[in-house]
Parts: sequence; structure tokens; C-alpha cells
Amino acid sequence: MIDFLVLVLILVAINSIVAIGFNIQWGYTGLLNLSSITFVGIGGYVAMVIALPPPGNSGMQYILGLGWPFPIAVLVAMVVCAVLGAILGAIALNRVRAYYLAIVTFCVAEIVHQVVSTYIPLFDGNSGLYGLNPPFSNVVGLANYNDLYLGLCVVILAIVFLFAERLRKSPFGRALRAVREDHDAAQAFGRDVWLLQLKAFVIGCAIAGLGGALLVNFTGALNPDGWTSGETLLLLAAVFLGGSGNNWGVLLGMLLVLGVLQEGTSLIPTWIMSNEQQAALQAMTLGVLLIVILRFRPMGILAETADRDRVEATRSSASRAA
Amino acid sequence: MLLEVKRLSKTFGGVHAAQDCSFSVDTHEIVGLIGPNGAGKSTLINLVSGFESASQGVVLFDGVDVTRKPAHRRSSLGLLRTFQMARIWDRLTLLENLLVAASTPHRELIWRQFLTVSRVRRAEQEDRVRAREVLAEFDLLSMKDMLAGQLSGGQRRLLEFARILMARPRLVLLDEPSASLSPVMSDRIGDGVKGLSRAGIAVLLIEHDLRLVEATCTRILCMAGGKLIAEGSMEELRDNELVVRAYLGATAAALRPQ
Amino acid sequence: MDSLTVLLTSIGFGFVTAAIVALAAIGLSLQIGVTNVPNFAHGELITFGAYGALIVQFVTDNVLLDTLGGMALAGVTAWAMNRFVLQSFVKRGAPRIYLLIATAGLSFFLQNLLAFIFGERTQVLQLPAGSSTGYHVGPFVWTGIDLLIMGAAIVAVAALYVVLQFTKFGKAQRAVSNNPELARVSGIPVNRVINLTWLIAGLLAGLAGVAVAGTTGSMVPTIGSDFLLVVFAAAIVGGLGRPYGALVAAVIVGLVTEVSAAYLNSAYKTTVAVAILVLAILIRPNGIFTVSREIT
Repeated sequence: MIDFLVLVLILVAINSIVAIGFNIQWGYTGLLNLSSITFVGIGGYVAMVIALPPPGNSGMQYILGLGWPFPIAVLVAMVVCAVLGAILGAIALNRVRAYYLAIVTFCVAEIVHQVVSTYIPLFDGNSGLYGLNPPFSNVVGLANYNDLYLGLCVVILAIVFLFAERLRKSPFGRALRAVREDHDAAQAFGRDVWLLQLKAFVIGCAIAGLGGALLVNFTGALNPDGWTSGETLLLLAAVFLGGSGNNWGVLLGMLLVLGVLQEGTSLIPTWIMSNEQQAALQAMTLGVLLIVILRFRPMGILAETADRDRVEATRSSASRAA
Repeated sequence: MLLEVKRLSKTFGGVHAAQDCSFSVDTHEIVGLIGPNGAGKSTLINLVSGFESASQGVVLFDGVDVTRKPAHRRSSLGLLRTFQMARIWDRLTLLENLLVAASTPHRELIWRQFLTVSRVRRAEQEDRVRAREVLAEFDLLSMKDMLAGQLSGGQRRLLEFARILMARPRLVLLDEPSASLSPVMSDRIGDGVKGLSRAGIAVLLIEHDLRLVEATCTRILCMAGGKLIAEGSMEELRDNELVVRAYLGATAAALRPQ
Repeated sequence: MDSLTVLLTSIGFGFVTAAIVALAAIGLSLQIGVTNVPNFAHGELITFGAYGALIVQFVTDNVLLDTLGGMALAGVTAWAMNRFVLQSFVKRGAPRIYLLIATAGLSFFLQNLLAFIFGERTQVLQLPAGSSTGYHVGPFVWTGIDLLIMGAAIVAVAALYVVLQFTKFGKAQRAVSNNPELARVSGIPVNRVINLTWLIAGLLAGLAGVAVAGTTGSMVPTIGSDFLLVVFAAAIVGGLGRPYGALVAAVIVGLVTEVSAAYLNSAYKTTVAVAILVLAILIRPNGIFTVSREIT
């Protein structure tokens, strides 16, 4: 039972890291990045091909294969995601209609998924990559390995959390929120809206890459089936449920969605419904949950601090919805 | 001359939204800009502030040619503006609204949030003290931790003034601040405008409420059909044929003292 | 096959794909035109069309009834989506981005509802006799089902044209699409127009779904969402709210993707469509048929 709990907590920790990055984009700055999981995937793949030895006889095809140690692989993954995020942001953030970023990132997610699945020389296509040795496995015996890895993830989560909180409370964070609320007013007060959005976007993508690198070093394998729109929906549900803009809320939301919802439904015995149906039911519940939250309490359980006076005021949003 | 506008024009799709507009505003002035609906006043404000790009002409601010500069660069130089519908940051508190106005992009660089934390904190503290003073002036201090989105229409306008005071600009373009407000609020707006001037900020006031214009402005420009057609005191404009004709219908009656 | 035949064959496929994409894209374009919310669940409407036909097939093999059944299911689902979910957001004054995310949630829900009921495995759709027979039409060779699909698309678009041009609803729809506030003030029942537009979008998507299932004689719960991006591409490139723009764009997108599939790995079809889309958004965000104006 404890082992199972440790596994779940590792997933919660890693997903929370990704969600905090997403929160910086969405909660702080109002940017809906539907390619968040793409960056998780890219981070994972980059970390793998940096850390794996050259392709050789493994039967897989992939680029690089440098055999470098774990910390470097993670760092490189983050840098690559930051750079790609900067390029994507530079292109996608210029557009005018509010939801274009959502559509463009959605498209990018699909394209990258397809290219990675199809173009074998890159990351071995649909078969994916496997065989990554768990980092530090020569230091600690396999019996307690998961506990160690959980500790590592929690430490990294704490660092990311503190980083995000520092940003949020800082003048930079406040500027991001002003951008979120009203672009024109922000421009009118000397803020380069595009640049601020780009910074938030890049930070979020780099953090997503970090999450991917951590995930891959835990599972030792990665293939395109692991990142689908389902993961995006999970992210959205967790952030909205817990409270967008509030990092504690993100943690709470992830714990509830992953811990309770996902693992909870897997406890339904097989004679009531098949595993396949369980998965479908989980997904259905997630979709409904997201809609219900958006409709009745979009600011989430732990609203953005100081949001306690419920402001989904019709007046301010009616002028925005026009 | 703080603000010099020379032959500013905006044409698109065959429409001359603004044609050949030239005027200036000096420090310590409160200049009014009046004209019937559709005269192009808002376009002119957008052109001067950089929210629209001019087809022709030059905008000089404090000696600097800002004609090709984007809006945020102009506001960084001290040329601020308001909008017809008060644009405040709804889900930030009143205090936070003022803090953002007082802060600068320079202070918001990411590395500064981690490496020069104490310096940033100190600057913030000073701003907080000043913000409370400004809020008190507008009777908004008790609501400093409320979300700005919950303010009434008049209070939103006052918050706009408060933000401008915090930002310490050289000049501000006020876009119809008394629109849809009661006459009582209008008076407070008038006080607000004078307050800005007392704080050393030059003002270009676009307004439909001619009483307000007369009470606050030293010099008045009149615009119609995209062109600046007259300039002078309220009396001079009242006697100006072009101005009278521009205000079809309401005309002379509206311009006479109440 | 020599290169000319390859080209002709792929162009032939292109027209069939164009027909299917056109149906879905026109509906999407109309819907976004009046609501201004991109519907991420549009793919599921397509899928519902296919599964609707499957359900009717339990009762009868009649092609027309199967197709109408599919269309009906998709149409009702679309109408219900708006009436019971999206409208309640709008009434509350929610920001548009929330509606967009809600459609993503709906998409996830609907797709998995089908997976729950029917499972993930491939379901078989019975095709009418003569479906696989090849017919020569000019330089092209099309199967019976291909011709049926293209014919159905032409009929549907013609019917839509009649409705939009000549009926009271059509005129109201165009008014709402152009300027909703003005339409409301002029006494047009905007909400009813929106509901009906969703219904029509659903019917068209449903027809597209039956067609897609018809090309392979099978379906899976993701059959519609696989098309989503291509449909979005056509709708956006053609200009949102411009059904005939979507039609032309669908032909372009259909032809380009199919022809490129003959020369590139066919798995890149969606990538090509999306590349067209991203290019179009960058160059002409309001669609290739609009005059470049100040964008609001």
C-alpha cells in the first residue's frame, strides 16, 4: 500500500511542477497554453537522448545519445524547452484575437505529436525510447529507490514553488497580472505587454520541460502515447479546481484530481466495469468536473489571495465577453 | 514645449480620421479638446499616445520624436493617457493598481526579483506609503485591499486619477473622464484634473461636458471632421462661426454659460 | 504507377476529403460566426454522426435513414451543447476563454462517453452495394461511396445556400453574424438564431462523420477529432463566419493535404493542413478572403 502511495505521490509531485509552470502562464498572465504537455514531452525526450548512450545495437533510432549524467540532461532539457518556447511565443503571442494563442498552441501540440510519432530518426517514432537507467541507482539499492526519487521530486517541487511564489509577490508578478487584466492599460503605463507575456511563456515552458525530464528519469521510458490531450485536460482541471493564480491551489488541485479521481476510480472492481470503461469513466468525470468548475467556481477552491470578494462580476466580464 | 504635434494625419480605407492636426501643450497647462461626436478626438488621442500609428505627421514629446515609437515606450517617457471606459485592473486591489502604476519595467526585470531583493522591497515600501496618501486624497483609503472591479463608475475614474498621480508623468491625455457620470461626480473630476496640474502634470482634456472644460482649461482646441478648426478661450470659441456650425443642432445654446 | 496517375489519384482523393472537410468546416464557420467561440468539441460532433449511423444500422440498412440518423444525433448533440452548457456560461457573462475551455471539456467528455458505451475498438459500418466499384469520371477514378459523399456534400451546401439566402432564418443568421448587438436591437431573436445555427452545424458535422465512416467502412471514437485540426484550418483560412470561404478553403486544404500525402509520408497530412493554417493566421488573421483591415 505504501509503495503504491509513493508512486502516486511521485506523479503528483511531477505533475504539480508542470502545473506551476502552467499557472505562471495562465494564472498570472492569462495565457492559455494548450501545448504544455508538448513541452513536457520534449523535455522528457531531450533528457533521454542526452542521457542514453549512442543508439548502437539497442534497436532504437534516435538523435544524440551522449551518455551524459542526469543533472546535465535535466538542465539541457530545460534550456531546449525555454528556447523552443521563446520561438513559439514570439510567433504566437503577436496575434490579435484573444483565443488565437489557444488554437495555435493546440495545433503545435498536434503537429509535434505527429512528427515525433512518424519521423523515426528523431525519437524512434511510435515505439518510443526506453532503457534509461534510473539516476543514482548505483548509490541506493532498488528496494528504497522510489522513496529516494520521491524525496528528490519533492525537493525540486519546493524549489519551483518558492521560485513561483517569489515571482508572484514581486513587481514582475504584479505586472503580469496587470497584463492579464487589461493589455491597453498596461501599455498605457509603460509596460511592453508582448515582452512580459513572452517571459511568462518561456518560464512556463522551461518548467514543463523540467517536469518531463523528471518523469522520464522515473519511468525510464517514453513514447508518444504518454502525452495526449488527456494530460492537458488533467492539467486544466487541476489548476481550475485548485485555484488559478494560487500555487497552493495548484498543489491541492493536483492532489485531488490525481489522487482522488484517478486512483479512486481505479479501485472499482472489474466485474462492474472493464478497465477500458474505467478509463473512459475517469475521463468523462474529468471533463464534467472542468465544466462544472468553470461554470460555478472558476476561481477555484483556493482563490487567488485577495480574491475572496468574489469578483466574477458580470460588469467587468460582460465588457470582456463582447 | 512639452508636447508638439505637427500635421498629424490618419487615413485608412479612404477615411480621413484625422487630417493635418497641429497643436502643442506646455508644462503647467490644462488644454481642452472639444468637438462634436465623430470629430476624431479619440483618434487624435490614440495617435498621440501611440495606440494607433499615424499616416503622416510628427509627434514630439519633450524634444524626442516619438512618432514611430510604440505606446509603451511613449508612456515610459512620461506621456500617459486614460481611456473612455475607465480601464483599471479589475482583479488587482486598489493598492496593487497604484503600485503597478508607480513601478517601472526597470524594476520588474526578473533577475532583480532574486538578486537585488532588498532594493526592490525598499522602493516598494516607499511606493506603498505614497499610495496610501494618494488614496486618502480621493477618499478611497478604506478600500485599499478591495478588488478594483468592485468600484462604482465614479470611483473607477478617481482610481484612474490616483494611478496617474502615482506614475508621476509629465503629461496626461484624459479621454472624456466625466462620461456617464453624475454632475456631482463631474465636479470631483474637475478637482481631480486641477489636482493633476498642481502636481506638475500637463493635461490635455478631451471632454463633452463644456462646463467642466470651461472650469478647468486655460486654452481650448476645437475639432470637427478630423481637423482642428479653432483654438482659444471658451468665449472666443463661442463666437467662432466654424465652431458654432460644427455643433449642429445643440450649437450656441450649449456653448453659452449656464 | 506513373507520376501523372499518382497525381490524379491524389487529386481525386483530395476532392473527396475536401467534400468531407467542407461539410464540417462550413458548419464550424457558421457557428463561430455567431458565437465567436471556437468549438473544440466539433470533432466529436463528426464522430457522433458516424456512431449515430451505426446505431440506426441496428434497425435498418437503408443508407438514407442511417445517414439521417447520424445527422440527427450530431445535430441534437450540438444543439444541446449550446442550450444546456454554453448558454449558461454566456448568461452569466463568463469571459470567452472559459467557453473555449468548456468546449475542450465537452470534447473530452463526449469522446469518452462513446468509448465507455462502444469501447475503443473499431466498429463496422455496413456500406451500400456498389460502394467499392470504381467509376471513371473524366481523368479521375472514384468509388461509389466517393461519388455518394461528394454528391451529398453538394446537395447539403446547395440546401444551406437556399436557407441562408432565402429564408427568414438565413437573413437573421447573417445579421447576427455581422453585428450581434445591432441584430438584437433590431428585434431579431438572437438566442434562437444561435441555437438553430448550432443545430445546423451539428447536422453538417454529422453528415461529414457518416461520410468519414463511409470511406473506410469503420469507426473509432477518435474518428472525428482526428479531423478537427484540418476542419479548423479550413474554417479559419476561409474566414470565420464566411461559409463559402470555408468551402473554398476546404477544397484548397483537401487538395493540398492529399496531394502532399502522395509525396510525403501520409501521416503528415494533418501537419500539412496545420502548416497552411498557421501560415494563414500569420499572414491574414481574418481569413484569405477579407480585405486587410485594422483588426479589432
